[in-house]
Amino acid sequence: MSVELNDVKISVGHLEIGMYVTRLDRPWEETDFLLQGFLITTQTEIDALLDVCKYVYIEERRSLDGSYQRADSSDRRVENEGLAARLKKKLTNKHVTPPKKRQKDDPENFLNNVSYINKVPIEQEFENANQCFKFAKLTAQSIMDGIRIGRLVEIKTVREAVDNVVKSILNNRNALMWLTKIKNKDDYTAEHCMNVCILSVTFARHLGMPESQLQKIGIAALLHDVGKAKIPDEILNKPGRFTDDEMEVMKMHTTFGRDLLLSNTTIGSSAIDVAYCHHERIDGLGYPRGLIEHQIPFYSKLIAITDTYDAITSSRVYDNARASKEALDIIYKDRGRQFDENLALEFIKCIGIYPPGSIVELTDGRVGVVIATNTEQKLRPKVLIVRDAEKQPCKQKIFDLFKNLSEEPEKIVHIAQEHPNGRYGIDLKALIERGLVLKK
Amino acid sequence: MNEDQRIRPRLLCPDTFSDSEVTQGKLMTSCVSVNFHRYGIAINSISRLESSSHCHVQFSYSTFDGKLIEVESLLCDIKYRQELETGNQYGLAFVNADQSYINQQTKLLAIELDIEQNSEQLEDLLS
Repeated sequence: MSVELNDVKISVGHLEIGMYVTRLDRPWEETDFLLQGFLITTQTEIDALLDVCKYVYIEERRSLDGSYQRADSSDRRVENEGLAARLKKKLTNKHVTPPKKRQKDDPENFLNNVSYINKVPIEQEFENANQCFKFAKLTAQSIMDGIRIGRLVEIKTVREAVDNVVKSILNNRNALMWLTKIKNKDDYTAEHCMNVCILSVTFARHLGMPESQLQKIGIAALLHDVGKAKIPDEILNKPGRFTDDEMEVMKMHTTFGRDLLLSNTTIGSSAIDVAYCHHERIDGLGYPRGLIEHQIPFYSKLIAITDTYDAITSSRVYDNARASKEALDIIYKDRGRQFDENLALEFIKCIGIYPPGSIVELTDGRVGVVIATNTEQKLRPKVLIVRDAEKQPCKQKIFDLFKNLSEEPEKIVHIAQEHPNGRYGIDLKALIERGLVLKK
Repeated sequence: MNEDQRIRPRLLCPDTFSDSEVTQGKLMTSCVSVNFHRYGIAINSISRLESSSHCHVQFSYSTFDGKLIEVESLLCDIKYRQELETGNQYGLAFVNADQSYINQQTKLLAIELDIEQNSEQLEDLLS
Protein backbone atom coordinates (compact mmCIF):
# COMPACT_ATOMS: atom_id res chain seq x y z
CA MET A 1 0.00 0.00 0.00
CA SER A 2 1.36 3.45 -0.87
CA VAL A 3 1.51 5.99 1.90
CA GLU A 4 2.18 9.68 2.27
CA LEU A 5 4.04 11.04 5.28
CA ASN A 6 2.45 13.99 7.08
CA ASP A 7 3.34 15.94 10.18
CA VAL A 8 0.63 16.15 12.82
CA LYS A 9 0.65 18.60 15.72
CA ILE A 10 0.22 16.91 19.09
CA SER A 11 0.34 18.03 22.70
CA VAL A 12 3.46 16.72 24.45
CA GLY A 13 1.18 15.25 27.12
CA HIS A 14 -0.20 12.89 24.48
CA LEU A 15 3.15 11.61 23.25
CA GLU A 16 3.84 7.91 23.42
CA ILE A 17 6.81 5.64 22.93
CA GLY A 18 7.09 4.64 19.29
CA MET A 19 6.01 8.01 17.86
CA TYR A 20 8.42 9.79 15.54
CA VAL A 21 8.95 13.48 16.41
CA THR A 22 9.69 15.54 13.31
CA ARG A 23 9.47 19.12 14.65
CA LEU A 24 9.23 20.96 17.95
CA ASP A 25 7.32 24.13 18.82
CA ARG A 26 10.67 25.93 18.91
CA PRO A 27 13.99 25.69 17.06
CA TRP A 28 15.93 22.49 17.79
CA GLU A 29 18.99 24.49 18.69
CA GLU A 30 17.14 25.97 21.67
CA THR A 31 16.89 22.49 23.14
CA ASP A 32 19.30 19.75 24.15
CA PHE A 33 17.99 17.34 21.55
CA LEU A 34 20.84 16.11 19.40
CA LEU A 35 18.87 14.69 16.53
CA GLN A 36 16.56 16.90 14.55
CA GLY A 37 13.82 14.31 14.22
CA PHE A 38 13.87 11.17 16.33
CA LEU A 39 11.91 8.13 17.39
CA ILE A 40 10.72 8.19 21.00
CA THR A 41 12.12 5.08 22.62
CA THR A 42 11.92 5.87 26.33
CA GLN A 43 9.72 7.71 28.80
CA THR A 44 12.78 9.82 29.65
CA GLU A 45 12.64 11.34 26.20
CA ILE A 46 8.97 12.23 26.66
CA ASP A 47 9.81 13.77 30.04
CA ALA A 48 12.59 15.80 28.43
CA LEU A 49 10.16 17.09 25.81
CA LEU A 50 7.66 17.98 28.55
CA ASP A 51 10.33 20.20 30.09
CA VAL A 52 10.87 22.31 26.98
CA CYS A 53 7.80 22.10 24.71
CA LYS A 54 4.04 22.41 24.82
CA TYR A 55 3.42 20.69 21.54
CA VAL A 56 5.45 18.90 18.84
CA TYR A 57 4.83 17.48 15.39
CA ILE A 58 4.87 13.75 14.84
CA GLU A 59 5.03 11.76 11.65
CA GLU A 60 1.75 10.32 10.48
CA ARG A 61 1.29 8.14 7.44
CA ARG A 62 -1.62 8.75 5.09
CA SER A 63 -2.53 5.89 2.82
CA LEU A 64 -3.65 6.70 -0.72
CA ASP A 65 -7.11 5.39 0.03
CA GLY A 66 -7.55 8.37 2.35
CA SER A 67 -7.23 6.67 5.74
CA TYR A 68 -4.67 7.91 8.22
CA GLN A 69 -2.41 6.02 10.58
CA ARG A 70 0.32 6.91 13.03
CA ALA A 71 3.88 5.93 12.21
CA ASP A 72 3.15 2.76 14.17
CA SER A 73 -0.26 1.42 13.22
CA SER A 74 -0.81 -0.12 16.64
CA ASP A 75 -0.94 3.36 18.14
CA ARG A 76 -4.49 4.04 16.88
CA ARG A 77 -5.66 0.98 18.71
CA VAL A 78 -3.87 2.19 21.83
CA GLU A 79 -5.79 5.45 21.69
CA ASN A 80 -9.05 3.54 22.07
CA GLU A 81 -7.87 1.63 25.09
CA GLY A 82 -8.49 2.74 28.65
CA LEU A 83 -5.85 4.52 30.70
CA ALA A 84 -4.90 1.42 32.68
CA ALA A 85 -4.36 -0.56 29.51
CA ARG A 86 -2.30 2.22 27.96
CA LEU A 87 -0.19 2.59 31.10
CA LYS A 88 0.40 -1.14 31.23
CA LYS A 89 1.46 -1.11 27.60
CA LYS A 90 3.71 1.89 28.16
CA LEU A 91 5.42 0.22 31.12
CA THR A 92 5.96 -2.90 29.04
CA ASN A 93 7.35 -0.83 26.19
CA LYS A 94 9.72 0.94 28.54
CA HIS A 95 12.16 -1.93 28.45
CA VAL A 96 11.92 -2.56 24.74
CA THR A 97 13.73 -0.58 22.13
CA PRO A 98 11.39 -0.43 19.16
CA PRO A 99 12.94 -1.06 15.78
CA LYS A 100 14.25 2.09 14.22
CA LYS A 101 11.78 3.73 11.87
CA ARG A 102 13.28 5.42 8.90
CA GLN A 103 12.30 8.77 7.50
CA LYS A 104 11.87 8.99 3.77
CA ASP A 105 15.17 10.89 3.52
CA ASP A 106 17.07 8.55 5.89
CA PRO A 107 20.46 8.00 4.22
CA GLU A 108 20.29 4.25 4.83
CA ASN A 109 17.42 4.13 2.33
CA PHE A 110 19.89 5.10 -0.37
CA LEU A 111 22.34 2.22 0.09
CA ASN A 112 22.94 0.13 -3.03
CA ASN A 113 20.84 2.50 -5.14
CA VAL A 114 23.49 3.12 -7.76
CA SER A 115 26.16 0.98 -9.37
CA TYR A 116 29.14 3.06 -10.45
CA ILE A 117 31.95 2.45 -12.90
CA ASN A 118 35.02 4.59 -13.51
CA LYS A 119 34.24 6.90 -16.44
CA VAL A 120 37.86 7.66 -17.30
CA PRO A 121 41.21 5.99 -16.57
CA ILE A 122 43.17 7.23 -13.56
CA GLU A 123 45.94 8.86 -15.59
CA GLN A 124 43.34 10.96 -17.41
CA GLU A 125 41.63 12.07 -14.19
CA PHE A 126 44.76 12.67 -12.19
CA GLU A 127 45.47 16.28 -13.21
CA ASN A 128 41.86 17.29 -12.54
CA ALA A 129 41.95 15.46 -9.20
CA ASN A 130 45.14 17.27 -8.28
CA GLN A 131 43.56 20.69 -8.93
CA CYS A 132 40.44 19.68 -7.09
CA PHE A 133 42.50 18.45 -4.13
CA LYS A 134 44.40 21.74 -3.91
CA PHE A 135 41.20 23.81 -4.04
CA ALA A 136 39.41 21.73 -1.43
CA LYS A 137 42.42 21.76 0.88
CA LEU A 138 42.66 25.53 0.50
CA THR A 139 38.95 25.74 1.32
CA ALA A 140 39.40 23.62 4.44
CA GLN A 141 42.37 25.76 5.50
CA SER A 142 40.46 28.98 4.84
CA ILE A 143 37.47 27.74 6.89
CA MET A 144 39.71 27.02 9.87
CA ASP A 145 41.56 30.34 9.54
CA GLY A 146 38.29 32.23 9.05
CA ILE A 147 36.72 30.79 12.18
CA ARG A 148 39.75 31.80 14.22
CA ILE A 149 39.12 35.44 13.26
CA GLY A 150 35.37 35.22 13.77
CA ARG A 151 34.13 34.62 10.21
CA LEU A 152 31.22 32.30 9.44
CA VAL A 153 31.70 29.19 7.32
CA GLU A 154 31.02 30.10 3.69
CA ILE A 155 28.81 27.23 2.62
CA LYS A 156 28.94 28.30 -1.03
CA THR A 157 32.69 27.73 -1.19
CA VAL A 158 32.34 24.46 0.72
CA ARG A 159 29.71 23.24 -1.77
CA GLU A 160 31.91 24.21 -4.71
CA ALA A 161 34.90 22.34 -3.28
CA VAL A 162 32.83 19.26 -2.48
CA ASP A 163 31.13 19.35 -5.91
CA ASN A 164 34.55 19.08 -7.51
CA VAL A 165 35.53 16.21 -5.21
CA VAL A 166 32.33 14.31 -6.01
CA LYS A 167 32.76 14.85 -9.76
CA SER A 168 36.33 13.62 -9.68
CA ILE A 169 35.42 10.52 -7.63
CA LEU A 170 32.56 9.77 -10.01
CA ASN A 171 35.01 10.04 -12.91
CA ASN A 172 37.55 7.73 -11.28
CA ARG A 173 37.54 6.63 -7.65
CA ASN A 174 41.30 6.13 -7.40
CA ALA A 175 42.72 9.47 -8.51
CA LEU A 176 41.84 11.46 -5.39
CA MET A 177 42.44 8.43 -3.18
CA TRP A 178 46.04 8.50 -4.35
CA LEU A 179 46.39 12.07 -3.14
CA THR A 180 45.15 11.20 0.36
CA LYS A 181 48.28 9.10 0.69
CA ILE A 182 50.46 12.20 0.58
CA LYS A 183 50.68 13.60 4.06
CA ASN A 184 52.10 16.97 5.05
CA LYS A 185 52.24 17.17 8.81
CA ASP A 186 52.60 20.96 8.72
CA ASP A 187 48.94 21.55 7.92
CA TYR A 188 47.52 18.43 9.45
CA THR A 189 44.02 19.60 10.40
CA ALA A 190 43.03 21.05 7.01
CA GLU A 191 44.58 18.12 5.16
CA HIS A 192 42.83 15.65 7.45
CA CYS A 193 39.43 17.31 6.78
CA MET A 194 40.17 17.11 3.06
CA ASN A 195 41.21 13.45 3.24
CA VAL A 196 38.18 12.48 5.31
CA CYS A 197 35.99 14.21 2.71
CA ILE A 198 37.60 12.21 -0.12
CA LEU A 199 37.50 8.92 1.80
CA SER A 200 33.87 9.45 2.84
CA VAL A 201 32.64 10.27 -0.66
CA THR A 202 34.60 7.31 -2.07
CA PHE A 203 33.12 5.05 0.60
CA ALA A 204 29.59 6.35 -0.10
CA ARG A 205 30.16 5.66 -3.80
CA HIS A 206 31.24 2.13 -2.88
CA LEU A 207 28.00 1.78 -0.88
CA GLY A 208 26.00 2.70 -3.97
CA MET A 209 24.59 5.96 -2.66
CA PRO A 210 23.30 8.49 -5.20
CA GLU A 211 25.16 11.66 -6.12
CA SER A 212 22.93 13.88 -3.95
CA GLN A 213 23.96 11.86 -0.89
CA LEU A 214 27.64 11.93 -1.86
CA GLN A 215 27.41 15.72 -1.83
CA LYS A 216 25.83 15.76 1.65
CA ILE A 217 28.40 13.33 3.02
CA GLY A 218 31.23 15.31 1.45
CA ILE A 219 30.10 18.55 3.10
CA ALA A 220 29.62 16.87 6.49
CA ALA A 221 33.05 15.24 6.21
CA LEU A 222 34.86 18.41 5.17
CA LEU A 223 33.35 20.20 8.18
CA HIS A 224 33.55 17.36 10.70
CA ASP A 225 36.52 18.79 12.61
CA VAL A 226 35.61 22.44 12.22
CA GLY A 227 35.44 22.75 16.01
CA LYS A 228 39.21 22.30 16.18
CA ALA A 229 39.50 25.91 15.01
CA LYS A 230 38.42 26.80 18.55
CA ILE A 231 41.15 24.70 20.17
CA PRO A 232 44.17 26.80 21.20
CA ASP A 233 47.09 26.42 18.76
CA GLU A 234 49.50 25.46 21.52
CA ILE A 235 47.39 22.35 22.19
CA LEU A 236 46.32 21.61 18.61
CA ASN A 237 49.91 21.70 17.32
CA LYS A 238 51.65 20.43 20.42
CA PRO A 239 54.67 18.42 19.34
CA GLY A 240 54.57 16.06 22.33
CA ARG A 241 52.10 13.93 24.20
CA PHE A 242 48.93 15.64 25.44
CA THR A 243 48.38 15.85 29.18
CA ASP A 244 45.06 14.44 30.37
CA ASP A 245 43.68 17.98 30.66
CA GLU A 246 44.81 18.85 27.14
CA MET A 247 43.19 15.69 25.82
CA GLU A 248 39.92 16.75 27.45
CA VAL A 249 40.20 20.14 25.74
CA MET A 250 40.82 18.40 22.40
CA LYS A 251 37.66 16.36 22.90
CA MET A 252 35.65 19.57 23.17
CA HIS A 253 36.05 20.12 19.43
CA THR A 254 32.85 18.14 18.86
CA THR A 255 30.75 20.54 20.93
CA PHE A 256 32.56 23.56 19.50
CA GLY A 257 31.88 22.22 16.01
CA ARG A 258 28.18 21.77 16.67
CA ASP A 259 27.89 25.30 18.09
CA LEU A 260 29.80 26.84 15.20
CA LEU A 261 27.66 25.15 12.57
CA LEU A 262 24.40 25.76 14.41
CA SER A 263 25.12 29.48 14.30
CA ASN A 264 25.08 29.28 10.51
CA THR A 265 21.57 28.83 9.13
CA THR A 266 22.80 27.69 5.72
CA ILE A 267 24.47 24.52 7.06
CA GLY A 268 22.41 21.33 6.81
CA SER A 269 21.52 19.29 9.87
CA SER A 270 23.57 16.30 8.70
CA ALA A 271 26.81 18.31 8.93
CA ILE A 272 25.86 19.49 12.43
CA ASP A 273 25.13 15.92 13.52
CA VAL A 274 28.48 14.72 12.19
CA ALA A 275 30.49 17.52 13.81
CA TYR A 276 28.84 16.64 17.12
CA CYS A 277 28.67 12.82 16.91
CA HIS A 278 31.69 11.57 14.94
CA HIS A 279 33.44 10.40 18.13
CA GLU A 280 30.45 8.51 19.47
CA ARG A 281 30.88 4.73 19.58
CA ILE A 282 28.46 1.90 18.96
CA ASP A 283 29.13 0.54 22.49
CA GLY A 284 28.19 3.85 24.11
CA LEU A 285 31.72 4.64 25.31
CA GLY A 286 32.31 7.52 22.93
CA TYR A 287 32.01 11.25 23.49
CA PRO A 288 30.60 13.83 24.02
CA ARG A 289 27.30 12.16 24.94
CA GLY A 290 27.96 8.42 25.09
CA LEU A 291 25.22 7.68 22.56
CA ILE A 292 24.56 4.05 21.64
CA GLU A 293 24.17 2.43 18.26
CA HIS A 294 20.66 3.44 17.20
CA GLN A 295 21.09 6.98 18.53
CA ILE A 296 24.07 7.75 16.30
CA PRO A 297 23.18 9.28 12.93
CA PHE A 298 24.19 7.18 9.93
CA TYR A 299 26.57 9.76 8.46
CA SER A 300 28.35 10.02 11.80
CA LYS A 301 28.86 6.25 11.88
CA LEU A 302 30.27 6.38 8.36
CA ILE A 303 32.57 9.34 8.98
CA ALA A 304 33.76 7.88 12.31
CA ILE A 305 35.41 5.14 10.23
CA THR A 306 36.99 7.36 7.57
CA ASP A 307 38.13 9.79 10.28
CA THR A 308 39.86 7.01 12.21
CA TYR A 309 41.43 5.49 9.10
CA ASP A 310 42.95 8.80 8.01
CA ALA A 311 44.08 9.70 11.55
CA ILE A 312 45.88 6.37 11.98
CA THR A 313 47.57 6.54 8.58
CA SER A 314 48.60 10.20 8.95
CA SER A 315 51.78 11.56 10.43
CA ARG A 316 50.79 14.13 13.01
CA VAL A 317 53.12 16.60 14.65
CA TYR A 318 53.51 14.32 17.63
CA ASP A 319 53.00 10.82 16.24
CA ASN A 320 54.09 8.39 13.60
CA ALA A 321 51.77 7.26 10.84
CA ARG A 322 50.78 3.62 10.56
CA ALA A 323 50.32 1.67 7.36
CA SER A 324 46.89 1.24 5.75
CA LYS A 325 46.79 -2.46 6.64
CA GLU A 326 47.36 -1.68 10.32
CA ALA A 327 44.50 0.83 10.27
CA LEU A 328 42.20 -1.72 8.62
CA ASP A 329 43.16 -4.34 11.24
CA ILE A 330 42.16 -1.88 13.96
CA ILE A 331 38.86 -1.01 12.27
CA TYR A 332 38.12 -4.71 11.81
CA LYS A 333 38.89 -5.54 15.43
CA ASP A 334 36.80 -2.64 16.70
CA ARG A 335 33.78 -3.48 14.57
CA GLY A 336 30.69 -3.66 16.72
CA ARG A 337 32.46 -1.83 19.55
CA GLN A 338 33.68 1.47 18.15
CA PHE A 339 32.27 1.13 14.64
CA ASP A 340 29.11 -0.09 13.00
CA GLU A 341 29.90 -3.70 12.06
CA ASN A 342 28.52 -3.71 8.53
CA LEU A 343 30.01 -0.34 7.65
CA ALA A 344 33.41 -1.41 9.00
CA LEU A 345 33.44 -4.54 6.83
CA GLU A 346 32.31 -2.59 3.78
CA PHE A 347 35.00 0.01 4.36
CA ILE A 348 37.68 -2.68 4.39
CA LYS A 349 36.33 -3.95 1.07
CA CYS A 350 36.26 -0.41 -0.28
CA ILE A 351 39.90 0.32 0.60
CA GLY A 352 41.33 -3.12 -0.12
CA ILE A 353 44.45 -4.54 1.49
CA TYR A 354 47.03 -2.92 -0.76
CA PRO A 355 45.38 0.09 -2.39
CA PRO A 356 47.27 2.10 -5.03
CA GLY A 357 49.85 4.26 -3.28
CA SER A 358 50.73 1.64 -0.65
CA ILE A 359 54.44 1.25 -0.01
CA VAL A 360 55.21 -2.44 0.19
CA GLU A 361 58.27 -4.52 0.99
CA LEU A 362 58.60 -7.77 -0.90
CA THR A 363 59.94 -11.02 0.54
CA ASP A 364 63.16 -10.55 -1.47
CA GLY A 365 63.75 -7.25 0.38
CA ARG A 366 62.94 -4.88 -2.48
CA VAL A 367 60.54 -2.05 -1.79
CA GLY A 368 58.02 -0.48 -4.15
CA VAL A 369 54.79 1.44 -4.53
CA VAL A 370 51.56 -0.29 -5.54
CA ILE A 371 50.43 1.29 -8.79
CA ALA A 372 47.53 -0.98 -9.75
CA THR A 373 45.52 -3.65 -8.03
CA ASN A 374 44.72 -7.01 -9.53
CA THR A 375 41.02 -7.83 -9.30
CA GLU A 376 41.58 -11.59 -9.34
CA GLN A 377 44.57 -11.70 -7.01
CA LYS A 378 44.22 -8.82 -4.59
CA LEU A 379 47.47 -9.74 -2.85
CA ARG A 380 49.47 -9.60 -6.07
CA PRO A 381 49.25 -6.04 -7.42
CA LYS A 382 51.57 -4.25 -9.84
CA VAL A 383 54.40 -2.58 -7.95
CA LEU A 384 56.81 0.14 -9.02
CA ILE A 385 60.13 -0.98 -7.50
CA VAL A 386 62.02 2.02 -6.08
CA ARG A 387 64.43 0.48 -3.57
CA ASP A 388 66.68 -2.56 -3.93
CA ALA A 389 67.06 -5.32 -1.34
CA GLU A 390 69.52 -3.13 0.60
CA LYS A 391 66.88 -0.37 0.62
CA GLN A 392 68.98 1.80 -1.66
CA PRO A 393 67.44 3.83 -4.54
CA CYS A 394 67.50 1.75 -7.71
CA LYS A 395 66.44 1.96 -11.32
CA GLN A 396 62.66 2.07 -11.18
CA LYS A 397 60.78 -0.70 -12.87
CA ILE A 398 57.31 -2.15 -12.77
CA PHE A 399 57.06 -5.59 -11.19
CA ASP A 400 53.81 -7.50 -11.70
CA LEU A 401 53.33 -9.85 -8.75
CA PHE A 402 50.55 -11.65 -10.60
CA LYS A 403 52.78 -12.46 -13.56
CA ASN A 404 55.52 -13.47 -11.12
CA LEU A 405 53.34 -16.43 -10.13
CA SER A 406 54.29 -18.16 -13.38
CA GLU A 407 57.98 -18.11 -12.45
CA GLU A 408 59.82 -21.09 -10.98
CA PRO A 409 58.84 -21.64 -7.32
CA GLU A 410 62.10 -20.30 -5.90
CA LYS A 411 61.65 -17.04 -7.81
CA ILE A 412 58.14 -16.35 -6.59
CA VAL A 413 57.98 -13.42 -4.20
CA HIS A 414 55.18 -12.08 -2.04
CA ILE A 415 54.40 -8.87 -0.22
CA ALA A 416 56.04 -9.21 3.19
CA GLN A 417 54.63 -6.06 4.74
CA GLU A 418 53.31 -2.59 4.11
CA HIS A 419 55.08 0.57 5.24
CA PRO A 420 53.79 4.09 5.87
CA ASN A 421 54.65 6.89 3.45
CA GLY A 422 58.17 8.18 4.02
CA ARG A 423 59.77 4.86 5.03
CA TYR A 424 63.20 4.32 3.40
CA GLY A 425 62.96 7.89 2.11
CA ILE A 426 60.18 7.03 -0.33
CA ASP A 427 58.15 10.17 -0.96
CA LEU A 428 54.90 9.58 -2.82
CA LYS A 429 54.45 13.28 -3.50
CA ALA A 430 57.81 13.47 -5.27
CA LEU A 431 57.01 10.34 -7.27
CA ILE A 432 53.69 11.73 -8.42
CA GLU A 433 55.10 15.14 -9.25
CA ARG A 434 57.77 13.49 -11.36
CA GLY A 435 55.07 11.55 -13.16
CA LEU A 436 56.76 8.26 -12.36
CA VAL A 437 53.71 6.51 -11.05
CA LEU A 438 50.64 7.54 -12.92
CA LYS A 439 51.59 9.08 -16.23
CA LYS A 440 52.42 6.73 -19.02
CA MET B 1 65.66 -6.23 15.47
CA ASN B 2 66.49 -9.40 13.55
CA GLU B 3 65.59 -9.99 9.89
CA ASP B 4 62.78 -12.43 10.71
CA GLN B 5 61.25 -9.99 13.17
CA ARG B 6 61.42 -7.24 10.55
CA ILE B 7 59.67 -9.04 7.74
CA ARG B 8 57.36 -11.40 9.63
CA PRO B 9 53.88 -9.86 9.38
CA ARG B 10 51.76 -9.65 12.49
CA LEU B 11 48.62 -11.73 12.19
CA LEU B 12 45.14 -10.37 12.77
CA CYS B 13 43.94 -11.59 16.17
CA PRO B 14 40.84 -13.75 15.72
CA ASP B 15 37.77 -13.49 17.92
CA THR B 16 39.14 -16.28 20.12
CA PHE B 17 42.05 -14.04 21.09
CA SER B 18 41.13 -12.24 24.33
CA ASP B 19 41.55 -8.57 25.03
CA SER B 20 45.00 -7.73 26.39
CA GLU B 21 45.36 -6.59 29.97
CA VAL B 22 48.23 -4.14 30.17
CA THR B 23 49.77 -3.46 33.58
CA GLN B 24 51.94 -0.46 34.39
CA GLY B 25 52.69 -0.39 38.10
CA LYS B 26 49.29 -0.57 39.79
CA LEU B 27 47.39 0.58 36.73
CA MET B 28 45.71 -2.04 34.56
CA THR B 29 44.22 -1.14 31.17
CA SER B 30 42.08 -3.40 29.04
CA CYS B 31 42.95 -3.11 25.34
CA VAL B 32 41.69 -4.67 22.13
CA SER B 33 44.25 -7.15 20.79
CA VAL B 34 44.69 -6.17 17.13
CA ASN B 35 47.47 -8.23 15.60
CA PHE B 36 50.16 -10.52 16.92
CA HIS B 37 53.27 -12.53 16.21
CA ARG B 38 55.88 -14.27 18.34
CA TYR B 39 57.78 -11.00 18.80
CA GLY B 40 55.00 -8.62 19.75
CA ILE B 41 51.44 -7.45 19.67
CA ALA B 42 49.55 -4.34 18.52
CA ILE B 43 46.79 -3.15 20.81
CA ASN B 44 44.10 -0.48 20.70
CA SER B 45 42.46 1.20 23.64
CA ILE B 46 39.93 3.91 24.48
CA SER B 47 42.08 5.06 27.39
CA ARG B 48 45.73 6.02 27.19
CA LEU B 49 48.56 4.06 28.72
CA GLU B 50 50.97 5.74 31.10
CA SER B 51 53.95 7.40 29.44
CA SER B 52 56.49 4.82 30.64
CA SER B 53 58.25 2.78 27.95
CA HIS B 54 57.64 -0.63 29.55
CA CYS B 55 54.59 -2.60 30.61
CA HIS B 56 53.45 -6.14 31.30
CA VAL B 57 50.76 -7.75 29.19
CA GLN B 58 48.56 -10.78 29.62
CA PHE B 59 46.09 -12.38 27.24
CA SER B 60 44.63 -15.74 26.40
CA TYR B 61 43.92 -17.54 23.15
CA SER B 62 41.63 -20.41 22.39
CA THR B 63 43.09 -22.60 19.66
CA PHE B 64 41.13 -23.97 16.70
CA ASP B 65 40.70 -27.28 18.54
CA GLY B 66 39.55 -25.59 21.75
CA LYS B 67 42.73 -25.58 23.81
CA LEU B 68 43.16 -22.50 26.00
CA ILE B 69 46.61 -20.89 26.06
CA GLU B 70 47.16 -18.26 28.73
CA VAL B 71 50.07 -15.83 28.58
CA GLU B 72 50.74 -14.01 31.81
CA SER B 73 52.70 -10.96 32.85
CA LEU B 74 54.92 -10.78 29.80
CA LEU B 75 57.40 -7.89 29.92
CA CYS B 76 57.15 -5.57 26.87
CA ASP B 77 58.76 -2.49 25.45
CA ILE B 78 56.23 0.01 24.15
CA LYS B 79 57.76 0.48 20.69
CA TYR B 80 55.27 2.93 19.30
CA ARG B 81 52.32 4.87 20.56
CA GLN B 82 49.76 6.77 18.56
CA GLU B 83 47.34 8.60 20.81
CA LEU B 84 44.46 10.18 18.93
CA GLU B 85 40.97 11.51 19.62
CA THR B 86 39.73 8.43 17.77
CA GLY B 87 41.54 5.94 20.01
CA ASN B 88 45.01 4.96 21.16
CA GLN B 89 47.23 2.49 19.38
CA TYR B 90 50.33 0.88 20.85
CA GLY B 91 52.93 -1.53 19.52
CA LEU B 92 54.37 -3.81 22.19
CA ALA B 93 57.56 -5.78 21.62
CA PHE B 94 58.06 -8.74 23.94
CA VAL B 95 61.40 -8.47 25.76
CA ASN B 96 62.97 -11.74 24.65
CA ALA B 97 65.82 -11.58 27.16
CA ASP B 98 63.37 -11.47 30.05
CA GLN B 99 62.51 -14.62 31.97
CA SER B 100 58.78 -14.01 31.38
CA TYR B 101 59.43 -14.42 27.64
CA ILE B 102 61.79 -17.35 27.93
CA ASN B 103 59.26 -19.23 30.08
CA GLN B 104 56.36 -18.57 27.74
CA GLN B 105 58.04 -18.62 24.33
CA THR B 106 56.52 -21.99 23.45
CA LYS B 107 53.05 -20.65 24.12
CA LEU B 108 53.67 -17.62 21.90
CA LEU B 109 54.89 -19.80 19.05
CA ALA B 110 51.88 -22.09 19.44
CA ILE B 111 49.49 -19.14 19.26
CA GLU B 112 51.21 -17.74 16.17
CA LEU B 113 51.16 -21.11 14.45
CA ASP B 114 47.50 -21.73 15.23
CA ILE B 115 46.43 -18.31 13.95
CA GLU B 116 48.57 -18.74 10.83
CA GLN B 117 47.08 -22.12 10.03
CA ASN B 118 43.47 -21.68 11.05
CA SER B 119 42.35 -18.07 11.23
CA GLU B 120 41.08 -15.83 8.53
CA GLN B 121 42.98 -12.67 7.78
CA LEU B 122 41.62 -9.53 6.15
CA GLU B 123 42.90 -10.83 2.83
CA ASP B 124 40.51 -13.77 3.15
CA LEU B 125 37.66 -11.41 3.86
CA LEU B 126 38.24 -9.76 0.51
CA SER B 127 38.64 -12.88 -1.54
